[in-house]
Amino acid sequence: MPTLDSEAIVTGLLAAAQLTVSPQEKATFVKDYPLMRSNADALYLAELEFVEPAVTFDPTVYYPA
Amino acid sequence: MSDYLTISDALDALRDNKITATELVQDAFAAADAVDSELGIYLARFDEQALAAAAEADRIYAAGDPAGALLGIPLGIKDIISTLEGETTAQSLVLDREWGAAIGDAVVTARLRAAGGVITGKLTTMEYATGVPDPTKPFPIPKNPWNTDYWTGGSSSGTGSGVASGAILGGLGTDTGGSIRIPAAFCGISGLKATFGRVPKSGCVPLGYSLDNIGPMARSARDCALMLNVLAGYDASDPCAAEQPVEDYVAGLTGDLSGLTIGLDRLALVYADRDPAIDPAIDAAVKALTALGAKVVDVTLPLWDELSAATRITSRSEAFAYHAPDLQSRWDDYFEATRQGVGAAVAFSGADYVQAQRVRRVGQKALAALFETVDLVITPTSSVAGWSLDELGSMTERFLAMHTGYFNAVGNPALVVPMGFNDIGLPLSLQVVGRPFDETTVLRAGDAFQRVSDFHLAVPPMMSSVAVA
Repeated sequence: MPTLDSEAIVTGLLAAAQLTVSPQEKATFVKDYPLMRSNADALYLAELEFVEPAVTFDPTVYYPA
Repeated sequence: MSDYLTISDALDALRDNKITATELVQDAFAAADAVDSELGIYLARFDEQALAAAAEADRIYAAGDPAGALLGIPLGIKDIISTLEGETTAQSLVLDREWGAAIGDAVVTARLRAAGGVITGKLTTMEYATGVPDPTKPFPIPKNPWNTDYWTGGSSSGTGSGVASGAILGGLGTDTGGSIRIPAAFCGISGLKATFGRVPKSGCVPLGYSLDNIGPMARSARDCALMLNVLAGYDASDPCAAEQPVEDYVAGLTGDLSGLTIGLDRLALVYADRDPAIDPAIDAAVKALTALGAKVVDVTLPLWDELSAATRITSRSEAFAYHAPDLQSRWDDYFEATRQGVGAAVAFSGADYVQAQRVRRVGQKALAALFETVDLVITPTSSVAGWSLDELGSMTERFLAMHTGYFNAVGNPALVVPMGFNDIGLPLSLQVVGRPFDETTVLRAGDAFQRVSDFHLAVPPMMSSVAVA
């Protein structure tokens, strides 16, 4: 069940992202927001304390070998 | 439909002069003519160019030098991958048509063409390879050949229905969270998401940069191997392309699974409304794989919920980075599902995105540990056989029924093959996953299973009345 907090947060997030949505679409964002957040919050696992993210960056990519 | 359902059989027939490439392409177009208005397979057809390419293939066959591995085979291209012949739309009002025109052939398109493949046209997708159909937009609604009240699955929808209906013998799909495997499963065909980086993705409209894959969809695992032989290999135009050796994937199809240990995770608890036909079909598949020489053991895929969520967060965030300016200025031009799905990225912070990449790292390690004890992992591709078009709406929770996104997070190769039907005649699908860059073993298992089953050769009832040639 969406809370007033979800409504306020989603309103702010959509405004910050400069997205102009219909009232019906906003209602769906508000309904889905707690699930989205719980998905993301569940990723902050204690076992990740010393884990590097799976991204790489090669500073030489545009330089000749 | 043509007498030749598979690429492999069609190539044999071409080499044995039992059919010409021109006849094969004409058969494919005739099948499309019969059903496309109902199924929504094509966005654009290249009849003239395809028939010219088929005539050239026939000339080469007649000269006795059929060098191309796919010479004369009618193949379709999902319309987020660029081609020389026509515009790339991503099935969207938003995409700048000049983008594809400036590219011409994507690397994968050029590779298929160089192998003699006949490009028949551009196939339907979900807008920008995400979401579900939007009937308010001026594009076809892809329908499932097994039951036209049902969705094909997405987003490589036209490739799925096109192969199942014989409108093409194979084609290209793309897969960011399951978009090859889900329509392959729902349409009753085979499809391969190779290891991330195995197939160059330059010339393809991005969805999730670190998750996107281009791959083959066809009736059989053997056909997928034939296509992967052509598609695989490094190309400098894709920063994610892997400089890994390419094997002969067809040569690896021995039909023998002796010595292999296969881990089975039924994923029985991840979606409540599971089709009751799934588990009997899995049991039968396990019996077949065991008879082929494999040892099947129960396993639990590590960090299932977290890695599946990491894919959703990563794909939405990466897609939002690409789409943000257009979402801000052209919101109403997007499909409703695209707006809702990509727009949902506003719920995630930069830290959430990085955390998802840390989960992917630890997930890769955990899965690698599992692969020290097994050679392959099998799961149902989905807990359902599909949804009716009337049921689609918001997909947020329904994505939990699809067991594909986990393997985009970790990058491993995953093949799906048909494994039966549910009680209303919709196809069921088995997913076969291997170690990174071990597509050979994945395809070997799928092909071996298809040597002792015929679900992949089943023809949708609506096609039985379509006779061509």
